[in-house]
Amino acid sequence: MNFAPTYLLGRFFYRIYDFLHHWYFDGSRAFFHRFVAVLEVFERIFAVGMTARFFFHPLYGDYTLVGRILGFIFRSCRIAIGLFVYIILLAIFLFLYAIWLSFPAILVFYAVLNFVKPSSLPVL
Amino acid sequence: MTPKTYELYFDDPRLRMTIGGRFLVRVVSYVSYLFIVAAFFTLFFSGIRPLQSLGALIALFLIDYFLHFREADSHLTELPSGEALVNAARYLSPAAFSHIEHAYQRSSFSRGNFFVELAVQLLGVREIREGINRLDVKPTEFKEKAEELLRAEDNREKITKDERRAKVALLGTRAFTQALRSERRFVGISDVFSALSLVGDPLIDRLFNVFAIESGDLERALILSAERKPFGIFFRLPRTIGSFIFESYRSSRHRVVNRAWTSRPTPTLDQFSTDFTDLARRGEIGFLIGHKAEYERMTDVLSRATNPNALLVGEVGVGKETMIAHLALDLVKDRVPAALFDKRLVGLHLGTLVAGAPPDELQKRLTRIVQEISLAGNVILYIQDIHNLVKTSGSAYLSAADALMPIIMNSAFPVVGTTYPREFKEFLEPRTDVAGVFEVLNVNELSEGEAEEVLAYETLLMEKKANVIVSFGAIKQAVSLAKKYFRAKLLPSSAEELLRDAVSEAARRGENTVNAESVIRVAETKVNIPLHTADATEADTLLNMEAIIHKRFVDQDEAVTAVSNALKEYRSGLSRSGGPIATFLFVGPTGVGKTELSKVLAEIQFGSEKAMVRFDMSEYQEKESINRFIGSSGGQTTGALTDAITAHPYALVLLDEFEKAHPDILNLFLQVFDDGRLTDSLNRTVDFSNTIIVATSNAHSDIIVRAIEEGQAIGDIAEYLKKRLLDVFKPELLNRFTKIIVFKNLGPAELVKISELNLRSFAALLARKGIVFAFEEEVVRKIASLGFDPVFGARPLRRVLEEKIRVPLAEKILRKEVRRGEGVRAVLKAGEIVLVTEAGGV
Repeated sequence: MNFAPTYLLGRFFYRIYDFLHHWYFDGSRAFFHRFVAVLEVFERIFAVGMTARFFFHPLYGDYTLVGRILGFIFRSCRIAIGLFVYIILLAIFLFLYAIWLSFPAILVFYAVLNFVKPSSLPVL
Repeated sequence: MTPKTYELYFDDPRLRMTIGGRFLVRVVSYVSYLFIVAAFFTLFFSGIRPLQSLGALIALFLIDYFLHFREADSHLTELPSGEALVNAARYLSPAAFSHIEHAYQRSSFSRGNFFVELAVQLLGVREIREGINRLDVKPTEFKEKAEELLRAEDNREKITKDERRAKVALLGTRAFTQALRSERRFVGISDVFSALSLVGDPLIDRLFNVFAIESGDLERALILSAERKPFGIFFRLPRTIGSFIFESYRSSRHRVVNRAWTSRPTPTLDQFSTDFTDLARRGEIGFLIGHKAEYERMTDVLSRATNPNALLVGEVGVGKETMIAHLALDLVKDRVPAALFDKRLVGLHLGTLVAGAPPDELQKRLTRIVQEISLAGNVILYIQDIHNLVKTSGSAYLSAADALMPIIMNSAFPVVGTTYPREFKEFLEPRTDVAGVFEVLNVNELSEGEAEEVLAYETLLMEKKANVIVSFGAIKQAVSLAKKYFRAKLLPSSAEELLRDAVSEAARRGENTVNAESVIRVAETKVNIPLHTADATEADTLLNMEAIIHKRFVDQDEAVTAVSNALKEYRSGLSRSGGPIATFLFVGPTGVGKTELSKVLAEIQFGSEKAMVRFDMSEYQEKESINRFIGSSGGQTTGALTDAITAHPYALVLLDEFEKAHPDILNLFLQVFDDGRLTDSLNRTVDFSNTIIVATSNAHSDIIVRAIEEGQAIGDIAEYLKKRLLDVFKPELLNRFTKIIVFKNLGPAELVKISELNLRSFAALLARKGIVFAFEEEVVRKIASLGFDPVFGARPLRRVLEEKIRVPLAEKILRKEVRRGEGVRAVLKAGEIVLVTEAGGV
């Protein structure tokens, strides 16, 4: 590597590796972090985990029968709505993540396929 | 991360290449990227579909490259876990490497010191120049000095390439550690510059020493310029330092109930309290530097099942409330143990609660509040100045303590209180029922480094308000002076006050910058201590100190020289660090000038006789008197000595008749003489490092009297007398005195001089009242002969002056025989001193 051309060749391959690393490894991590951050924001509203933990607790410390029944009803609704929202969120993120992962591959695929059958795909 | 397990090395192949090789790498790299950009345009705009796809792929590559253009190959945040061999070069940002490479190349050519070459090179970077400027150092001067060092033939290095590369490696690894400690993503230019002070190279150390730049200074100075950036164009600076939170929480609405829907609203409590979690949610509080251990302990205590009550004990301004505010922020961020999760931190206003409420109303309020907190189940109660609870108890009505204590003792909800050491000792410690339920956590003072960091943030706010620039030198000076001289409050509050005053002063004077000198100026007016470097006038005074003292004090050359030398050493910065300026034991018969010399010294160097803190140690003969001296153990009374030095840290301490003090008190001075510090009963440390301590002693006056009666001079028995002092003082105490000086007895000739000095001083006093006083030489001799006593020295002189001059003159003034503008002459008539009035002056 002390020899400049060898070093340059090494850097050339390193740059390609670096691009792929950023795209797939760092990109995946960024997606995951963003997803967790968004979940945290929604969790502050729906508090699904916490509501489940306190599922059989009465609402607002009202230990009467009414309080317990209302608690059960309200908490059930809250968990259901929360889970629904989380599933939607998960679906959106998975969709975006799939596009992200496949984008470079799609470009290569487009190029290869166009060389084989130039008229079969639309112009980018 | 476990940095200790890394085995660091630094290797970049480019440094092993020839200059031509490195040049080739640069050229080929630039040309390659130009080629790739050209390829992108050609392919993407070719209109041929497969080539357009490839063009888009190249575009992604280029975008990625430019997004990470300034980044190192690897991130410090992604260090391998466990033991690993780490190449620091991979974490070096391209800009930092480029400067290192350039300096390496230059030093290879010129044989100049690599580190100094690099320092010069880095001065070209705006960030570094700004940092240097903030350290009160002009970058041009710094550069000139560095270049001067490089030019010096003696500093040329004859080292091999390997040795030069070893220097780069040393710097690289130090910069790596520095960047890791500063929690950066890469080793940047500022880390490399900071690391220069850590490589231990004599030449670069010399350069930094010239400008008094210490390791870590630049790092903190850069806070001032670096932290400004996020608030630069898009953001406004916060109003208070507590709001320096970079991760603000979006929602700022008050939460009536918790997220688990188990709590209840607390309307009465809300009326008499502040919800700290609301403030944290709005980003107004929560910024904390230091106090890590105390904070962790506090959260541990508050989250335990039994007795979840913490009591923070610390002086004013030490950071108790800042810790509480940070807890509120952590609660909002869900960064707390499970037991504290989803809770509110509510500060009860005892004053508002108790004030103006009749007893029955107070009881109702308290009952409601306690019920609300218990039912809500999500409240952490914060009671500021909790000692007030106990203070009010015992009154005719049911006090707040009596209502709250049973609940606190039941561990119904977590409570955190704050108090001060003195109040804790006085009010809380004696109440075992109260003290028992709280875990006492002493909140210690921040370190100087932490205080500098706090002040760096605080400075950003001050700068904006006063429209001035504050240098890091000013911050450093404020912290250092506050730590030494302003002990009424602790760091960082004390330093903050000082800096704030310096900023106001600068703004008032219309100055644009606040530097170390500005802070010194303000500090000097506050404590009356000469903190600046001695100027020409003062230097002249110090150099002629003996002569100046002798204008007002006769003979005793050894003592005069000793005190003068001590002051010269102190003001030139060569005093022994850690102890008082000097400690003297003046021994000698009565009336030889021991106290008088102390007075003269206090006036000449310490500004006035009032700067002399005098203790008659015969008043401290009992064992219990130690309580009066340094304060009682219960904290009820403070100490006369510690109070005096806290109020006047720059003073002359005169301990008259030292030998008469109780041995326990004498033992206290072992520490004072050695470390210059004394801890009082409230654990406050009092600093004696700016005091001269003079202890006087008449011990073995029988030996002195006998010697004088036998016609011996004190000088002849001085050594014998010093040895005999061991009968009175412990050897370890005597050894700690800077000097033991035996005062000579005074002869008739000295008495004449003293008489003259006294008469002149009296004349000066009268002159201020508009009366001219003159005297003849015979009068001086007469007074000297009347005032001389071989055993009592000059002591009778004062009485003679009073009888022969002062009292007769006072009577003349009262009889209107002497008026303003007239003169009085003391003459000798028939062997008697007579005062003659002379109208129209003498």
